[in-house]
This record gives sequence, structure tokens and C-alpha cells, in this order.
Amino acid sequence: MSEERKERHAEDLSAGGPADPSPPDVRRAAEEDLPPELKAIEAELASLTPRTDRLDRERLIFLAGQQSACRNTKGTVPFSLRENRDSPLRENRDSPLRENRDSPLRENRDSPRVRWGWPAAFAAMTAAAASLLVALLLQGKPRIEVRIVKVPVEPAGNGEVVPGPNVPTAPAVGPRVALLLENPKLLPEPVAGSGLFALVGLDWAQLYDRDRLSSDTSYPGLRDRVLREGVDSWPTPFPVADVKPTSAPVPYRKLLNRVLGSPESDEPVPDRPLIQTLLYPGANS
Amino acid sequence: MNAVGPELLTRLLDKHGAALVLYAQQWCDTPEDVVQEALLRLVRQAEAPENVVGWVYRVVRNGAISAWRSARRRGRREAAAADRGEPWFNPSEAERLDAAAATAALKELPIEERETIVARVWGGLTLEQIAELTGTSKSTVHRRYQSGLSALRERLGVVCPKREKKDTLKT
Repeated sequence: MSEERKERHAEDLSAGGPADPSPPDVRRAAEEDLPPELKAIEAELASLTPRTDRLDRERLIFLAGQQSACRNTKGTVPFSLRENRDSPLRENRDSPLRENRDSPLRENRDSPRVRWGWPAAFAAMTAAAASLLVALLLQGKPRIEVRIVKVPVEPAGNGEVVPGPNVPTAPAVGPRVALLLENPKLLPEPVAGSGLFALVGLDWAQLYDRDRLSSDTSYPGLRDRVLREGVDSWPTPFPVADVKPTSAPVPYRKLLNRVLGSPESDEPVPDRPLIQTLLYPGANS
Repeated sequence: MNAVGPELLTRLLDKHGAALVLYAQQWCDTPEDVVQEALLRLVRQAEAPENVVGWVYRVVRNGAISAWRSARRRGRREAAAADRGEPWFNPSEAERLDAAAATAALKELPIEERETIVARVWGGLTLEQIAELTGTSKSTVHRRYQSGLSALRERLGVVCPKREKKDTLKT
């Protein structure tokens, strides 16, 4: 190796490259720390020059100019590797599935409407789903309030329990209910004995009608009862109408003779000439 | 700051192109691709970085390590570059140090020491720049550098010049 090359390389080493920001005294201090034998091997190594024929300079400059032009036009050019037949990336680059840069589909894809359409739709759907989720979480379950109402009762003089004056009464109390309130004995035993019949949410008119309808076995009465209270309220046993036979059964022949007018029968036939005319049309002539 | 122009790129190629390839070769078997990609990436930058050389070395290092990991995933050998048999240095009969022997001695070094020596001797980076590049302290870089040089000296048999003078005086 010539002395000129050594000196040039030593200058490069001491300069630290074209954009070395470190101060020179730091570099000098680092070099001075080396013992002389290591400085010798360092100088021997510096005499070797790396191979300079491995980079395709012209191709690199060409690609750099291409990149620079695309940078100015704000375009993107995929990185093109150096011609290396062994590189696995070469297969992808030569693949027929590789995108055609001149394809009209590429322009359509790059349009703002297509570019922002799907993200906007996705964002809108996500916002809607999030709002529905928040609404569902904030809704919660319906609250059931249990209120215990203490009813003051006053014992009556005859030992019966009568609700006090502040006891709320059932709504829509008709005159018949008022009658029942005055006479609790008319009510069924479990209701009348509880002393709280005024608080039970029963339709007192229906209660009264049930007792009345239990004895009504007519068809309209049974129909109304079934429609109102269901089949379970059907009386057992089934009420059968009390139909008594009005007369003894009449034999068929007697009935026929009665219509046709048998000579043995003395009963008058209501319209005997008409029947005879119908049966024997030419008899009169 | 403006973007990287053709003048700066040419200067980078002249002064650091070969060293960058050698630096990337410490990891991967396609150092040319890695360096080319790094330089093109530098060109694509809207503004040139403050320390261009350090930036390029960092990008080359990251790309080389990524290529090495990709090659390892593909089942290739880790030292495929070393086994390719290509010399790292230009052959010259005038040099005292044999290029092939130096290459072989360098390959036997640990990657940390080898990286430090390549970046310092042929890349021209300072120890601080190497520390920033490798993410270590300056003292660590200095220790690796000394250790690597000592190992190379033993393997290559380089004699200290002072001792050489003493030996000649004795004789």
C-alpha cells in the first residue's frame, strides 16, 4: 500500500467523517488512551481498504434521482433492490400479482372518497355501537319498591275487627260494596275474617256477583261466568236443566196414522184433503 | 435544513460507501442491498438529518440486523456472509498485512468487538458516535475496541514498532 493512501486514510480517521460533530480533543483523547502496540495494529488495519466494487454506483444514483423526483411530486415509489438473483425479494418483484402502477384501479383507490369512505363508515359504526352500549349499561333494571303500610285497626265493640278511619279503600267502590262494608258477614269467610278486606285489591262487585252467579245455571249466566272467570269456575256437577217430559212417547205408526188419517183412528186430521190431493192427484176427478 | 442533494450523496458514497458495506456485512449476506436502501431512504427524507453519517450508519445497522433475522428465519446459516468466501478488502501486494488473514481474524471476533473495530477503523466514527450507534457507553465501546485490537494483534502477529526497534538495536 502506498504512503499516500495511508496518509489519506489516516486523515479520514482523524476527521471522523464529513459530518462528525464531536470535538477534536475528545477524539484525540480516545486515541491517546491506546497503548503503542494497539496503535500499531490499528495502523496496520487502517492500511487495508474495503472493497469498493460492491455497490452499483450508477444504479444507486439513478434510483436516488428517481426517489428525489417522486418526493417532489409527493408520490411513492417502492424500493427497488439491487439486481440480486438470489434475493427472495426478487420473486415478489417479478410476481404477476404485483400491483400495476398504471392501473385505473389504483387511481380509484387513491381518490379521497375511497380512501376516507371506509374509515369514516367504520368510525360511525363504532360510535353508534359505543353509544348503544353506554345506553344499555346506564339503563339498568326496573326498580321494585316494597312499601310496608301499617294499618291502624280499632277493635269494635262486638269483638270484630274494623279498619280505622285512615284506612284507604279500594277504588271504584260501588253501592253494593258499600253494603258489604257495612255488613261483612255477607262476604266469604277468609275475606271477612282477615279484617283487611278493604285493602285487598278485589273487585268487590265481582265478588258479590260470584256468589250470585254460583246459583245461576242458565245458559247466559254460565256463559258470562266462563268468559269472566274461566273454566275452573264451572260448577260441579254440571248443572243440567230441569226438563221434564211433557207426555209419554208416541209410537211412530200412531204418529203416521195420525197424519195420514187411518180409518181406525178417530182423531181429526188437520188438513186431510190437502194431503190426499198431494198423494193422489187424480182421485177427485 | 434542505433535503439530501446529489452532491452530498456522491460524497457519502465516495467516503463511506465501502465502509458501510463492510459494516453491514458483519451481520447479513446482502450488505449491498442494505446500504442501498439506507441511502435511498436518506434521499427520501424531506430534511437531511443533523448528523448524516451517524444517521446512515444507524439505518444500515438496523437494516443489516433485520436482514440477518430474516435470513435466520428462512433457515439460512447465521454466518452465511462469512462463508460466502468473498474477500472483505481490496487485495494489494504492497500491504504488510495480509487481507485474507485480516478478514479471517476479524471473523473470529465477537460481533460487538468486530462492529466497533469496523466502525472505528474503516468507518471513521468516533467512540462517542459508536456508543450512540450501539446504544452503549463510551467506556464500553473503548473496552471493546481495545479488546478487539488485542485479539487481532495476537492472531495477526503484529509486533510493536518500539520493540521492533529495540530488537534491531540488540542485533
